[in-house]
Amino acid sequence: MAQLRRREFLKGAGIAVTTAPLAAAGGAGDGAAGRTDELPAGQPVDLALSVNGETQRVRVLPETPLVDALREGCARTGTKRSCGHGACGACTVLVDGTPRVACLSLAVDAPGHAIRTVEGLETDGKLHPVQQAFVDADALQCGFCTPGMVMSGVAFFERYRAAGRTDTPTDTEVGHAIAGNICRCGAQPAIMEAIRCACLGRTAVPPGMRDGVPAGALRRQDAVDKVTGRARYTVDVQLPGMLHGAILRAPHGHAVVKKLDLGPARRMPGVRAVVELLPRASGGWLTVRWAGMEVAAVAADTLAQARAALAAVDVQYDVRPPVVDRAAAERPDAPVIFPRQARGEARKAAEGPSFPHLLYRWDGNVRGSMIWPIDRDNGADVLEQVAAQPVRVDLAAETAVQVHATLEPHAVVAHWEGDRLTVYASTQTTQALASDVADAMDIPVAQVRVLAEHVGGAFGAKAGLKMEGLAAVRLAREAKAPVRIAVPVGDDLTATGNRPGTRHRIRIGADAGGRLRAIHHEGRSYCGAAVGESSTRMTDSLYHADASYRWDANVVTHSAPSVPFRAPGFPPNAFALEQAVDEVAAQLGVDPLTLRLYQERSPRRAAVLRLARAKWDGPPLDRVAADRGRYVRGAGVATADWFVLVGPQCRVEARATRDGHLTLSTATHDVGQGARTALASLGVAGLGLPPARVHVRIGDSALPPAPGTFGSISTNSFAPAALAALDELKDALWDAGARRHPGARRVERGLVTTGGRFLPFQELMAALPEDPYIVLARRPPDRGGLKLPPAPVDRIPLSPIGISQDTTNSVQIAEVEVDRRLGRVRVVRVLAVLDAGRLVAPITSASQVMGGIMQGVSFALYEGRRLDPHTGRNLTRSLESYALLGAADAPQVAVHFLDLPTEHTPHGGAGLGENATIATSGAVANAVFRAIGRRVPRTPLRPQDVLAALA
Amino acid sequence: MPLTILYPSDVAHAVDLHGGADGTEYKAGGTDVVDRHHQGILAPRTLVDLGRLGVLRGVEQRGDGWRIGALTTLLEVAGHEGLGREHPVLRQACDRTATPQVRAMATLGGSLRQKVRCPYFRHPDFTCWRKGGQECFARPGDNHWHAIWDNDTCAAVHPSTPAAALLALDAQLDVHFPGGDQRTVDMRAFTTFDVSDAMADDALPDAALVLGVRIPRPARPTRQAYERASARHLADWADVETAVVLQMDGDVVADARVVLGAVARRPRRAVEVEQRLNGHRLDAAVIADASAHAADGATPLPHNGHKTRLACNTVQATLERLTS
Repeated sequence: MAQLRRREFLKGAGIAVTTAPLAAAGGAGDGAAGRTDELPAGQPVDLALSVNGETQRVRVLPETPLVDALREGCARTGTKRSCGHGACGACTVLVDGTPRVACLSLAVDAPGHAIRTVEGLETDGKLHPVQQAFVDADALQCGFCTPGMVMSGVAFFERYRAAGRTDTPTDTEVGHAIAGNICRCGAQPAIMEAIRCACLGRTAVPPGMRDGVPAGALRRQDAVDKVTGRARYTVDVQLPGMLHGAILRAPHGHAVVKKLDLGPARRMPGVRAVVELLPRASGGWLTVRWAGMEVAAVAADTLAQARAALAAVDVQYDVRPPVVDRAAAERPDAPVIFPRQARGEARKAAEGPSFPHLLYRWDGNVRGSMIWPIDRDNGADVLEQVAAQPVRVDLAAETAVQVHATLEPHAVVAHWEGDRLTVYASTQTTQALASDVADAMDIPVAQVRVLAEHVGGAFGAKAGLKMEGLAAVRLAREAKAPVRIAVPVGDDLTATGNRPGTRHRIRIGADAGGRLRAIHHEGRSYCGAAVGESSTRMTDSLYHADASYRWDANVVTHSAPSVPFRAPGFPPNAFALEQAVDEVAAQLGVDPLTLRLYQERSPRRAAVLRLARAKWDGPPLDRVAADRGRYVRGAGVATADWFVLVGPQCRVEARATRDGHLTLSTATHDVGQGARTALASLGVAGLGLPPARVHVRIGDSALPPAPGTFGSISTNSFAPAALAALDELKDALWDAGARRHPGARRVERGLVTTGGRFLPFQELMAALPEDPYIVLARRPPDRGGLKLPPAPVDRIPLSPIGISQDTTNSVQIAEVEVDRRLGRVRVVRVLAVLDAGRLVAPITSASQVMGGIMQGVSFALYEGRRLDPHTGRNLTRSLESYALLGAADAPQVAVHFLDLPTEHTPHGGAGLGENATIATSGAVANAVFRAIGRRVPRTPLRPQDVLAALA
Repeated sequence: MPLTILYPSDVAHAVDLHGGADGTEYKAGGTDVVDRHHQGILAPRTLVDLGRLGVLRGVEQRGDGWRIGALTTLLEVAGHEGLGREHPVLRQACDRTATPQVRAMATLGGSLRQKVRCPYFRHPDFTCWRKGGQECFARPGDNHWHAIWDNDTCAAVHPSTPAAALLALDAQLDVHFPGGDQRTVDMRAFTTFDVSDAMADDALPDAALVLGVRIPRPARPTRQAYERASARHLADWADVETAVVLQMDGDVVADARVVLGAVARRPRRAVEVEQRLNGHRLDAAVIADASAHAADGATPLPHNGHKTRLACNTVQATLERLTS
């Protein structure tokens, strides 16, 4: 195309031409009369963008989206790329003041418009009021949605101010303003409060904390980094010479690979390395058992080249019919997905120990309960006892497959320097990942360092070495250059993990006094090409029936393997169980909190139930609504428990310097739950230092050992170790101080000299014998020992973990409004009461509970993966078709804690991340029942299901 | 995939540049074509960018009604006070479409002519009718999102929410046809096409360019409303949606337009409902009786039978909003 025309175009469009030579392609020859301004395919264009008031020169291709131009071209990585479809809003920027999604905007359209990104909001080092309000309200967790969310908030704030308003913005209008921004961690109520407060010029407070923010509670330590876009995630890592990797996935649910030739891909432009990912098996390759299984990977100079090369891989499949449908998998004539000799190929669905396959009874595609203890009669005796009781419940329930849908996709940057390897990873297990990588590459673990400074959501899906990690590491070695792989959202929602769907039948017999006498629970978890889930465990731990039988099966299908997801097995367990128990209460006409108190042996759990009763000021709980208007309301109760997991090997280093700074380090992670804040809180409280003098280093496998961040284990592990380190440091400070001030008296936060002068620890640090003075302490054991000591369960991703004698307890009460005409369920509010022992960091704890509630509401009402029944391909591979809770549908929340130290953990605390989300869906379902008088025990509970139940 | 972008100097030039060529599409707001280009879904190779044709943008009140330029964004349409006051159905429909960020980019013309959102069509591994294949995968597969009318070939529903409102408003489109013709096409004609052609989404050739939308001044006072059934209140695709415009003689419905969206290959007038409203006062009994016929003649697929009830209930809910 003629260069003349290009220049004309560039001039006309106000696009600055830089000195870059513009390749002239011949053969204009189009038939159009007159002048055709044109951007020819494949030819770079030099643009001058106005970004935050500065002129930013960038070279792009005609198809380059604005988000890539900003992130890759201008190195402004504050703007995040997530879904790529305009559905999640993570890439929101303001264009001439209006929020737009930068993933669907072309960079070439941007010149001549004023673009504002999150990096441009501060003035003179001071946060924008909306940013400040986000910090104050703790309106963020992992922080990956935050830049986009802040931009939508800023646009609303500016409209509000421009209109000269002083009234309080309504939930409806704020909900509308941020309807295009998804927060997976569940900060929606806090985000809305933050925007409201920013508009009103009022200091925001975290909305869940109905009892007020405790004095001295630390704010989220990385909040400022996250609201300004400075927080660096794996997808933001850019190294010199970095290549871009992409993964080829099998498009068939069931197939045998006949041929796999990487040669043609190697010869494609820009390709620097190609590796096979599908494991070899005797005479060929492992059978493809889900659509999305990894086959090969390519690294090239650009992502477009890598993707083009994937298409060139010569792979031939012998396609077989997949078993996708749940019911089909259990038919006696169903093809067996894992024949006996192939059972080892099933992936591992849960994070608990897995035992040899031969310990389980397999029947086709159904892996039954463990053979031991032997059940001879499928609980027939328990059924007899159920039948003998005056109150009997028989409830069937099912839950859909839930996908983690972290806003930061699975991402890895692998960088070899000689035989040393640095892996930047969006992971919740840095050390386990380092160890996995070392094993896979056959190098000593000391040569591998894994870094995860900020992690944009994990929820269980980012534990251990995944295929994209293996691919990046191998590609980087082959290419002798750093390689980044960020899994595209379609693949991320398809192949990187999910919570199994479940089906349950629960039969309960209760006596006339409301005591549960016999419980028979059959549970099935549909784990895809994996096994290891349990969805009935809580039935025994929560209630203590005289007779109980659980059948806990895994059903395999030709679909992507499940992986752990926040409280594996428990939310579906609670969804079914707590509806069955609610049914007992309803039959007896007893308040469901009272019914649960009848069962209670644990004083702590009883205290949680009583606190919930005291705090609930919504509709009565014992009522099934008689109202038959269009909008009806009801309130439902559900309860939960969760283990207190501990990593006994966890160590924390406390490093004090003579200039009065403290740094606490351990290899834990902040995936949004607030590990930085918890550690900093311990440091501030322990030594009485100002927060600015306490620093935290985490997210690095080279730091002192810590378990992965899952199962609510982190704080239970590092907090006691940190306290031990601080105690040791305090001794050193007292000693050092006493040497300088003989006769000084030890007080809690320093020394008091004989002259009566108080010397705080900060001052004593100047007297430390070494600079820095370093203490490394191991987590002290639980009082009275563990319930289950660390076992050499299977290997990584688990560093040794034990189970404490403590338990966490929770109750949630949800109020819903059901539209009987359109079937929509709206959760109006949720009250959560948790016993998680003594809190380390109250603000982030309350946020985590709020997030658990939001995820639980999302699970109950919206989320459900759908597969094509004939091919097993995922039809919900975008955030348009896989629906997540939006702000406009988010309930009000109130979070209360039973602030009572635990009996056994050294720090008196217990975790709370899992227990925050377990009860929610059951509470919502029970509330729907109380509202409409019909039970619809199914997730997601869609409008049509409600209408069908009412018909 | 490499992309060429052409910038026409005027409307006629744009239509010439498009020329009906395979792989060539117009780009207005870009929310569909850019997405498909990036995802490789029937990816355009050449875009004729309309963004600089300023004549196509803006809302204008004329003696005989309103004219909205095709490049007017949904945000602008929803935010126009006079238009919204007179035609709340259009404002409500635009307001419930997509997300604020997308509404700020997506245009009224682009909304009418975007490609379907069927998850099979949008999946890279299904080569359906629309991508040169020989079958619809949704009909034998998971058709929970799909059409309950017009579903013999392609079963995807028409994706445009504003289209339902425009059909209810008896709107007309100013269209520039290949060859140079400029004609007015009313929404009824626009949405009348041979549904056995799996590729078709409307009655216009691909290269025809919608220049603007005219909304004629109604002969009588109207009552208007848009409503949808969807799991989420906002930022969701409708399971079923309804746009209603009732011309009133006092309390009596003189001429009803009841349009259903997300149920067929096109926005569909529920004539059976309209007939039962015309000549009646809008009371609960009339509404209940009429809305029960909203799905008459529907031919649901195995997984979307729920849409018939949603259709009836959505029509009922919309009409109930108009009783006072």
